[in-house]
Amino acid sequence: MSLNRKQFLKHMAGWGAALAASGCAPRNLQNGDDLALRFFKPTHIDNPLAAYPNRDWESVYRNIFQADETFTFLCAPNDTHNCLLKTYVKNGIAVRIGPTYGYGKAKDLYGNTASHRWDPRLCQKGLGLVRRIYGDRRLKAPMVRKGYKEWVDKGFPRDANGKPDPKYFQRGQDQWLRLSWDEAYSIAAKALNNISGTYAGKDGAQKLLAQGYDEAMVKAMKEAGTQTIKMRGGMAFLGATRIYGMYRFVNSLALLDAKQRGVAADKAIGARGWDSYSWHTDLPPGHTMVTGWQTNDFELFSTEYSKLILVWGMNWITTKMPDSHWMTEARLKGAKTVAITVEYSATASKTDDVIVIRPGSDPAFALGLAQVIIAKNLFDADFVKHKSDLPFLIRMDTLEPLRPADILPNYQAKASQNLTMLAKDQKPEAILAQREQFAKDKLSDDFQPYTIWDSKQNTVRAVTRDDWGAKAQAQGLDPELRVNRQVTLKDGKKITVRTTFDLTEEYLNQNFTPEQTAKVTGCPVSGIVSLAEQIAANKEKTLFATGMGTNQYFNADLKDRAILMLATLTRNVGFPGGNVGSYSGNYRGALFNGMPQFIAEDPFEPQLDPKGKVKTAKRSYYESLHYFNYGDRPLRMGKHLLTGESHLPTPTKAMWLNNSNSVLGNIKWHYDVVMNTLPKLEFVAYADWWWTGSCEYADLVFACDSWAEFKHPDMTGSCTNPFVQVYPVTPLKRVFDTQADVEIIAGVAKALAKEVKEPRLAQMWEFVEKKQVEVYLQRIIDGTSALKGYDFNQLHQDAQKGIPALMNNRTYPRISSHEQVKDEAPWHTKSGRLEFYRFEPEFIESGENMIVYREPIDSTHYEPNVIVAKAHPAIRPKTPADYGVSEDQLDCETRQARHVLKTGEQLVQSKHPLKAKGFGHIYHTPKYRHGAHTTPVDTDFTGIWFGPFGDIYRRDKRLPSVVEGYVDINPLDARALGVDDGDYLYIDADPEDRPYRGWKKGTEAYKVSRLLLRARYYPGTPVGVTRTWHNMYGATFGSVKGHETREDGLAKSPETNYQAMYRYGSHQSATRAWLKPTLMTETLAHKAMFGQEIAKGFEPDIHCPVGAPREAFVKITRAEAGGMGGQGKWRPVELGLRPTYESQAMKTYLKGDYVRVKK
Amino acid sequence: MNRAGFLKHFAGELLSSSAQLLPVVVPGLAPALRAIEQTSPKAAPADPHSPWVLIGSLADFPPGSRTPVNQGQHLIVTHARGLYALDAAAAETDSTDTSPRRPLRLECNGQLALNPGGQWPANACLSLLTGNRISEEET
Repeated sequence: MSLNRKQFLKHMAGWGAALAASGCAPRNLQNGDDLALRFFKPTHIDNPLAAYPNRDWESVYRNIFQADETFTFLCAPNDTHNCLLKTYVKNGIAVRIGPTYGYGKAKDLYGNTASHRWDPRLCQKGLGLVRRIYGDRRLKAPMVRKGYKEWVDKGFPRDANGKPDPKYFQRGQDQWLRLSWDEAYSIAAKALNNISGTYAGKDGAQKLLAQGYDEAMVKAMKEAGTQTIKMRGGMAFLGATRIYGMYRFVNSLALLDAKQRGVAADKAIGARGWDSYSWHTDLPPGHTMVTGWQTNDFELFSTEYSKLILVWGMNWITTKMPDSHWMTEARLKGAKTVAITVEYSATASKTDDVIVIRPGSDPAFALGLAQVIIAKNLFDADFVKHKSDLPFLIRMDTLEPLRPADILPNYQAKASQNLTMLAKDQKPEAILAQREQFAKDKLSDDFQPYTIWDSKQNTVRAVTRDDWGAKAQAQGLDPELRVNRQVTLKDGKKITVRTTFDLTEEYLNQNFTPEQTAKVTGCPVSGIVSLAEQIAANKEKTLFATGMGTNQYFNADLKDRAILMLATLTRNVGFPGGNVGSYSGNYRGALFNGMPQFIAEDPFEPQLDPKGKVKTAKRSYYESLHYFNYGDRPLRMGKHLLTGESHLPTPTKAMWLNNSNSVLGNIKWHYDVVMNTLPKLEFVAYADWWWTGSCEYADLVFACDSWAEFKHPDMTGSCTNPFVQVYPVTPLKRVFDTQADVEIIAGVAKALAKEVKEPRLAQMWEFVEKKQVEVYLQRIIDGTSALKGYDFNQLHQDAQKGIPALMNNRTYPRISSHEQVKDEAPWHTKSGRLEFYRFEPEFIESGENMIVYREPIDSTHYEPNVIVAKAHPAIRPKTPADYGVSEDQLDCETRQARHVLKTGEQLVQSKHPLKAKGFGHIYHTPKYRHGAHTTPVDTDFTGIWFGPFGDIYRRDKRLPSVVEGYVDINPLDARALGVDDGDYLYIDADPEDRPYRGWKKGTEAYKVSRLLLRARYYPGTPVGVTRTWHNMYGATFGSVKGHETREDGLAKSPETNYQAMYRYGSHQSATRAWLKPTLMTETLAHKAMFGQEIAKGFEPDIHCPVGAPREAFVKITRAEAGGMGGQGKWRPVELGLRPTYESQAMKTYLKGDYVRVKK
Repeated sequence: MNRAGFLKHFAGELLSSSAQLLPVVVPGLAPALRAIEQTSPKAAPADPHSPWVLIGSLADFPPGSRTPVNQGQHLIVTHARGLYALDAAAAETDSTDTSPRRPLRLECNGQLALNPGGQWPANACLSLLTGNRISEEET
């Protein structure tokens, strides 16, 4: 029916009369009111409460909403926000959650306050938590796998090589038994003691070699059996005592080693701690290569000072929920925002400009922007000359820097003013007292001076680590940027030297003109030129907010180096409104630089006086988890070991994880880990409050308190906001038979102390036992630069009221590189400057001494991992032949160290080797808004947001849960495959190694592992690019059993209640582990985790592998029709509500034709 | 509507629709909020018509224990796979625990509930992990 305005009014009058006659008219109408016209009058209500009609119904809602009591807890999954939340309790049950509105009341030590613009803090993840606190997958008590208990009860029987009978290790398919807490602790203690004892000493090493472990790994153990024990607290910064506590335990196991091997304290070695930030691929590995730091960043409200905000590979709107407003509000204040993305993301819909590039081509895009800026002479020459290494002279014979001693007669290097070299055996000052950078004497050769060609004196001049910034200018140093000339060394040898700037310019002009960049990235030339000009026009005012999207490719380090160079060229590093940051994961543990007071307390001399001075001693090692993910092996190319000595992993025989589902349940290459690596382990323990995929494959599961039930306080901070936050103790009674995370660690320690008769193992946790965890927390505070002066108990009391405190940082917001651009301190690099040329051998051998572009290692339609470069005098990598490998060898293992050059034109003519076998789509797995990793995505109320397939009634019994995983696919791609929206598809990645090495068709393991999921038509993703959200719970043996045997078809384990969000497989069926040679070097200098030391080689979460979890090239096969029960089309398709299937009504709606504006 | 009217109207809507208000930006709202959020601890009244009796939280029944509940009328037996309830009198005279098993369920707040009038099949018990009834064959 269509009505014109007159007809409409006429009808309204009639309806109004009928309404009045029915007695349903509003009670506050005055006599004489024309009823029809009444609806068109402006409302004049002086007292809205009095004007309301009968309000009795409100009491229903008031009763529901009225709480008996409230309390505050801290919600802190690994999403970087951390929100104190107000919980409303009714009849003893937490029924709903809301914000505390306390953030505007936060103060620092000096009385400065935050603003209420930080309020309210809360997102959907937090809102839905009550469904998780009481959910049916809550861990209710400590549990042990039946077979494992039998192995323990029988005294850990093994064969001659130390291997247990596999019959005890049917992980994922066994039954579970409840334990008392004492039994659980006892089993853990016995297992840790037995396993480390078995593999200790020469005899233990022989056993490991006989089991097939890499010789270098066994050697790295130094005969300490405790080195086969690996522990990890999931994003340690999220819990100063309960999560970092795992690393304290790691260090304290030196006591166990001392007992087992009978060695003295100075020879005793603890266990190994696995990394966090780099494990999640959150670390931007190139930041370390340029700045020496873990990450250069800025707090997100720096947007207030910016004029141009580039949101690059970061889905700010979806992943930074309580802090997304800083981006949108910046626009209100006049900043321009640009999204650089691989799809039309949620963030793209909120920015002024959007640039969609080919996945993984980010380094190429940044290099293309740099080319425009240099070619158009738009760069800031002063900043480049005095803050970066770009003017340094590089010898073309060695590709190393020209040193003054090589060329300047009588040159004598002076001791650096900004770097202290420690004498041999000299110990550094306590971290809190460290004001200046320092390094150990063995690194003295690493800080040699560099040279420049001085334009004023027209000669080579030396540049020391002190000659940077204003100091260099004060000395009259005026480096020439474009140098390509011959010089004569002191020994008479003539060599060519060029500046890094000159070499870079040549590379960019050869390979990354706007036209060439457009071909490689897919961004139009106009977009490249326009953005470059905008960045150059906004010096000190351009923020580069990069994110996980770009981190998760194999070329992530090159991306960081290229973006930092772009920012340096345009004077956008270290300024309040102009800086580079990377946002993924809550990492910056260094903000609590007093942590060593807790994690590295010397276990041989535990301090039992709450006020006593703590002695620290690092007696353990850290290790990158990527080696475990890689099959518990290092990277080798033929006989060449490409994993540096300090990076080498040790054999993993026992693992204990806390607060982390990403090491098993949602691990990259999940099914390979389950089928091939896990069977080699003899102890897998998990501590969590939710039964995850990791628990499915564990031997022992500790049931933890939820955040809302904390009985011991804890503390955390954030890399994106300025607050130090306390997890308060809450009045909510424990719902089940659970313990605090830190009590569990202490419980195992106590049992181990008893087992091996070493009381100090228990004494290390004395203040947990005494319920005085605040002693440890106060020690951390007292040792932390930005917290010293705070009283923990006061922080705790405030937190219970919903009020956090401000970190006492120098600036608000915190700004990385601030001191460096103000000429107060150098970067923690060899030169003290921002470094864009890496002359260390590992980089030269990889062809990455200069910043080049490498094609993604798997996520590409072209030949993977090639270096895009025309012949260039400074790019001379080792060839495949140097490793004894054919250049045609393109398998995944070889690809990692395959250094082959192709021009951009050759690249786009090349093909991924699987193209010929019907593989045709990039498959990437980014993170979604309603989950931080897998927290809390399988909660029904949260999961239902995950897409169009949610159905709380599960009308189609094929649905694994009330929601299910899906793949976003461009409709054109789908049509070409004969796939309708909502159909089920198989996704297969490289069959050489996925879903796992050695898979066999027809086996249960393969059925569980092969990914089956729905197709979602999504025009926002480009052709050839598909996507599945990373956060889903994958299928397990138990979930598949449930799906196939339960009457309701739920993919829910009948044994454990584990709930998968796929019928079969997972997004991790398509991913695998990758190791990049330049992330495993012995030569890169960088800041240590805590304090001011500059060190070299492996450093967890700073210089180590990061993997490439977004890389997969897949084959898509239609499996089932999307209609109910596999018949016909999916219902929303039939209804005409879906893209490309729009009914006439839908088309009208989309065109906006249901509303007409009369002109 | 003028500006003042609009604000009053808006405040009224907020007050009546939700307790999730903006005390920071709406002056004077705090007292109203306090009224809504007043804390007067209540206990859920026992439902006289329900056959289920709350008998304690899971932590009260450690594995391997036999715990009298419901004023000594019933006995909760726990083993590694789960729990079951017996009539105390019968259990005293029958050490094989073959007397009728009474239904148990796990409430969402972690409380165990017993239905003294119901009966489960022989060998049935409450699974700790799933909260479902399972048979001992499955154990």
